[in-house]
Amino acid sequence: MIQESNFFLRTKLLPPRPASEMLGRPRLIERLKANLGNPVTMIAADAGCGKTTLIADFVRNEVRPAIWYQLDHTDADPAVFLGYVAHGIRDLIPGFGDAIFPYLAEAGEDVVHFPERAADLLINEILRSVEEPFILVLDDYHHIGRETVVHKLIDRLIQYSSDLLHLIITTRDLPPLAITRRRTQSSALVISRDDLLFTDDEVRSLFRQTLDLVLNDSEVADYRERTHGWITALQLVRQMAEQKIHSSSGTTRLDITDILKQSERDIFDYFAEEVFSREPHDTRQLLLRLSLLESLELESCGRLFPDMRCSAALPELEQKNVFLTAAGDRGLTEEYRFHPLFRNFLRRRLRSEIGQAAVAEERNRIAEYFLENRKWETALPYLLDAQNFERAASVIADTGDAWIAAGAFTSLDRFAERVPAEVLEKYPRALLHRAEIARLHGEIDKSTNFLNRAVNLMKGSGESSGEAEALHSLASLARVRGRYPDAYKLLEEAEQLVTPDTETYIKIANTRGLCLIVGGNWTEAEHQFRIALDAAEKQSNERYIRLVTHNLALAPGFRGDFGEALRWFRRIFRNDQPDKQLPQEAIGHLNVARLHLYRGEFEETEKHLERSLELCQLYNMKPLRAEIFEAYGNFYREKVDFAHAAEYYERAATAYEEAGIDVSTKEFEEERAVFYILRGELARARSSLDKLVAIRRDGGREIGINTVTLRLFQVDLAEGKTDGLPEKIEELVGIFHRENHYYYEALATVLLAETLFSLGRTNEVIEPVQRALDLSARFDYDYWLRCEIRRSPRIFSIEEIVERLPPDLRSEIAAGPVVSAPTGHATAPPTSSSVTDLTINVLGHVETFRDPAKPFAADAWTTRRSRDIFCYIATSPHRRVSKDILIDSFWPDEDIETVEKNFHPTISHIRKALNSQQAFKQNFIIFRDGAYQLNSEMSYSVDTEEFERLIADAENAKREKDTPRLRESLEAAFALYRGDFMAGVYDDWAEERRQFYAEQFGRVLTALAKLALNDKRWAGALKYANQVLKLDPFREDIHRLILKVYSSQSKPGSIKKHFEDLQILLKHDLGVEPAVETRKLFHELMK
Amino acid sequence: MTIHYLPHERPLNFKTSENDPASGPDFVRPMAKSARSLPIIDEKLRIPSFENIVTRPRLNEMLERATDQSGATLVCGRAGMGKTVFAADYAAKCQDSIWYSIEPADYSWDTFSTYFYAALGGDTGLDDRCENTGGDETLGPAVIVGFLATCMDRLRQSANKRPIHIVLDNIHHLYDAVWFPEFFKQLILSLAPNVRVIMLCRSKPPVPLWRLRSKQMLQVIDEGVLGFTPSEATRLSRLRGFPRTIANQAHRRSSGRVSKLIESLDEISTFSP
Repeated sequence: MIQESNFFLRTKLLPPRPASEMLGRPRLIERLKANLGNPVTMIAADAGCGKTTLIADFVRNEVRPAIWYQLDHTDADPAVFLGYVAHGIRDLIPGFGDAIFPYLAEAGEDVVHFPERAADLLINEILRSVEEPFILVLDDYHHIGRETVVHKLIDRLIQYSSDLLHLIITTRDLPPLAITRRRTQSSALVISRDDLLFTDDEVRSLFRQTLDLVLNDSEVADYRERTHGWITALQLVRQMAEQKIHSSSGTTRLDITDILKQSERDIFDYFAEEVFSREPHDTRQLLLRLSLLESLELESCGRLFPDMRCSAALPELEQKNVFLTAAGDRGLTEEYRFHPLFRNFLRRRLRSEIGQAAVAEERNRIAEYFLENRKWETALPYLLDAQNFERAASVIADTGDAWIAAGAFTSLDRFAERVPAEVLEKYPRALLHRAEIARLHGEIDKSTNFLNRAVNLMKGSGESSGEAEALHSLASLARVRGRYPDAYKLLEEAEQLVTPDTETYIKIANTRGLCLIVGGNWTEAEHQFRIALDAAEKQSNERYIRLVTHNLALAPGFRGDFGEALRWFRRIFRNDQPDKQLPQEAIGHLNVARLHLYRGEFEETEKHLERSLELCQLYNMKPLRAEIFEAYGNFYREKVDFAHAAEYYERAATAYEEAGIDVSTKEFEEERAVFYILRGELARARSSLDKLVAIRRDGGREIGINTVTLRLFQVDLAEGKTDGLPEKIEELVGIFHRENHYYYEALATVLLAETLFSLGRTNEVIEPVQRALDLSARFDYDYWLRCEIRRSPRIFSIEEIVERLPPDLRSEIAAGPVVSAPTGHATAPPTSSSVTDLTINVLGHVETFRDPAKPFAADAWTTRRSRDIFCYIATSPHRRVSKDILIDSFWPDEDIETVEKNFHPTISHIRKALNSQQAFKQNFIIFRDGAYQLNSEMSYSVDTEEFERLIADAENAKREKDTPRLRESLEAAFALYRGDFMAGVYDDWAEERRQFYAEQFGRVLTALAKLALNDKRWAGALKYANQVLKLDPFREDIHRLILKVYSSQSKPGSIKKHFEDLQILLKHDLGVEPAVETRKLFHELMK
Repeated sequence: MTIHYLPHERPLNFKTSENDPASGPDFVRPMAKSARSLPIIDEKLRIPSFENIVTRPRLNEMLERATDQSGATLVCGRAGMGKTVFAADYAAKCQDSIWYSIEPADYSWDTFSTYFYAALGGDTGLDDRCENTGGDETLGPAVIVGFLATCMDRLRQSANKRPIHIVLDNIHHLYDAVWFPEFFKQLILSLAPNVRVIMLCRSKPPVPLWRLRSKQMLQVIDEGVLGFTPSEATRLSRLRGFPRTIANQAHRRSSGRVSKLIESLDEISTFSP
């Protein structure tokens, strides 16, 4: 892990300290500040334009906390990069990194293959742990080059990290990030060289503020022409002028036109020489020597140049602003950085003073110092620059394992590429590392070439352990390519060269096991895995213990020995060691859940499914998510909770599609067909299974065809199509038996018994059932057998069978069916089940839930305001509200500091509340283009939207004179309205919406009352009419409707009383009489 | 059954035989066994030890009687009946005991015979007459008879006529091996007078047993006898710190199956005041 490895330098996270003389750049600072609402700011300009100075000044004065990350070439490795970022965040948020650090420690090549997963893990952790927005500065981003997956990580961070993270990237060239292509959408601010150049006014200010010099217009114009506002040149001019002022009597005005007579390069050289030559001899020597160092860490400088009193000299030079900037607080971890142009000048000068050979010697000395301190990645560039390739190759050979293990193989490869091939070949282990890197990058041919060369070289030099390692790697590649005979041969050769106490020995047995599994030679594969495990345990090789135990579970799983598979799978988890957690544990939990489900252990199944889903979310393993949903579907199917099962199968189907997975290669359709069979939807099951058989026939997947055929035979039996069926099933039983698929064999034997029983061939039933009982005992299919007995008690009631049943299973015969067996031709209509990720009901008291069976914790909504903001967003047009409007609505009278303090924690509370007590963590609230919105990747049920849809539908129905539909829509809208919009919330925005929905509800009631009157449903008409009057007692149209109802019911007394009551009400409250129309109706009715 | 793969090189990219049409038995030729020696995993040959177990004198007596009367005893019961715990306890108390935990990986004759011989204290080098030159399909009775004769000779010499107990745990893993019926029969027929074999299994072997039983060469202890009695359940309950009332309740729920008994004890105690 980076925090413990040699690859971590604390000083890279230290921001530069302010320079003593600095000119503020308000026009740029304002732009930076204004862009904080967007995800990223990029400062792209060449050296010496003041990028770092500007950003350092900005973040120093910004309220938001900032992380400063100074990049160099080693940060091209995603694991290294993420490690630094996570460390930086941990400096702000103590405890941050609980998820990302263990992942980086264990993930290895995963980070390269799945950079999005690593980025998502970081984002999830940010969303979970960080409440206040912060800035991440990536300084000198160009150092990592263009060919690195770090760019993908950054793209992901920019896309999904909401408004909590603002990235500032300083770089000399535009990196290949998606954001650079999206500038037109104004989601990124790019400050270019032109923006950074000093304007005339800034030039004036610089000289006035720092030198008290007032430049006239022609001098300013001269500067503009000569320097183009280039800050480095200006700084040099400024420094030179300062020195001249101090050296003169102070009475003569400085003639700065003289110093602008050379070109930019000349100016630089001239001033650099001036600066340099003015320093004392010792300082000059120090500067020259130090220029060879990439970074000037005080402790290293002190040790490398003990006679040069670096700890005093460097701060002095920084104070004098000799093109040296400091990072961090003062102390041993302090680091200084030369201005790159000044450093180049010094190096050139050093070369000319002491000669190329002496420079090389000095570089070698520095390299050895870093090697002694195990800083290989720091040492290598010095060796390579000194052209000491022999030493570089030996370092690569000796330390390559550690580099690769730390995930830093991109930088290792870059260094190795600089070593001439003939030198590298003198150190064949270096070739092994290059091969491994090529393999990790998916370059199989390149990797094979390196390995073949390494084998030959090592054979020649008698380096047998290395040769074995290379042979094993070649075998692995052969396996990946499906060349199994080659793989076996190579493994055998490798095996002759190693002893059981080496890691290669473990790898050989494990790889051999993997090859054997593919060939269906499960027992031999198990044996090999067992050998590998034994060796791994003896060597205490934790990593391989876990990998091999997982592999050991495969064969029993395929065979149907679920107990045995569980025994091994359980051993891969490290619940007590969260820092040893692997993303693959998500797969492990899913497998374990499946095995528990086969055994009917529901509690354990649910526990492992939840854990699997949690990890899958954490690592964003999309294909796995689909499989977990499928397993949930199976789980609910087994629990006979068909509604939930249908919902999860639907989720799985969508997730498979989203992940671009062909479901025919999975068991999904088959499992869902079993569900259809259980629900009696035989035609649907058959259609689905028929399609699957056809696809699998094309793909030549035998076992897949056989399992689907078994399900089809189940449908045949259920539909009574038994002609020739026993023979066909018998054949299938034979296949499963020969292939050692015991679980399917058990299923098939019981199906055979059922079929024979249905045909009245009772005597023939006993043999297959006996076989089923035997398999059940051997592989512990108790749960399955129990279900079968309950499903078909008549078969198991046959005397010869009953006596073979264990006593506890005999009692199941009387217990009756668990679920109704598919009999006859019964088919239920297919029900479509829509999936809702989140339900928000606000018509009445607020109700939010994701699964009614798993409500949020009682205290999930930490603050009422967070809940109300969420409802506000959810019920706004497009479920979206800009940040400014949110602030105006919820913090109308607060000052900006209070808002800044409270706003983001409130948003964070919403996210947490919506994930409270839910295994499946989802981010429902996202920030896009200055607005908060419900994440459109999820599905919602919002009652206000449904209410409005029903009203619109009713209006259409009315226009189309479709009375039944009109009534249906109105009644549905009526049922949906549980009460006032967000009852109990009295904010202005809520009152406004409450009034709107109340009016809409009044319309619904009125329409329903009129419909009821037309349909002569008097009680209904009165019910709806009275409800309208509760909302608005002065609605005379409704009073007239009531009078008509009473008239139709022949109740003159009621008519009279109602009219008189109306008269009193109007008189008393409004001081008016009923309208003419009402009075007229009353008189007519009274006649 | 879907099981995900976890190879050490590239997670999730491995293709199983089910979805990789290019692969299949024809492509796979594992190297001949004779080409390399078979490493022995010691753990499989050690008597497993368990903590906090209930000793079961009635079963010990029954097993002692059975092994005295016939050379071979089959202890047969479903998973979770406590076979291994009981047999390990018994074996640990015997002076000379040999233990072999059979795993599915031991299905081939080569592997099984190597382990069996190693369990008896022999190294992996058997003499020529025991060598199986072909695959399991071509294994003749002579190889098995020869192998067992070698084993029994060895036991006869090493134990100095003292009784030796061989426990073969999980023998049901071998039931579908083609050589198993012959081995089972020959093992019982060839037992030296001082050798007793105890075979633990989940279901009875698919071979004729009654002939051997009628000749008192084989005894069978089955699930009905293996189950915990109420008094054994009470002792187990006490050992785990639960009162007798809970033990009775749990015993009724579990029908004496010890794995269920423990589960029930935990469950009931959780809900008890």
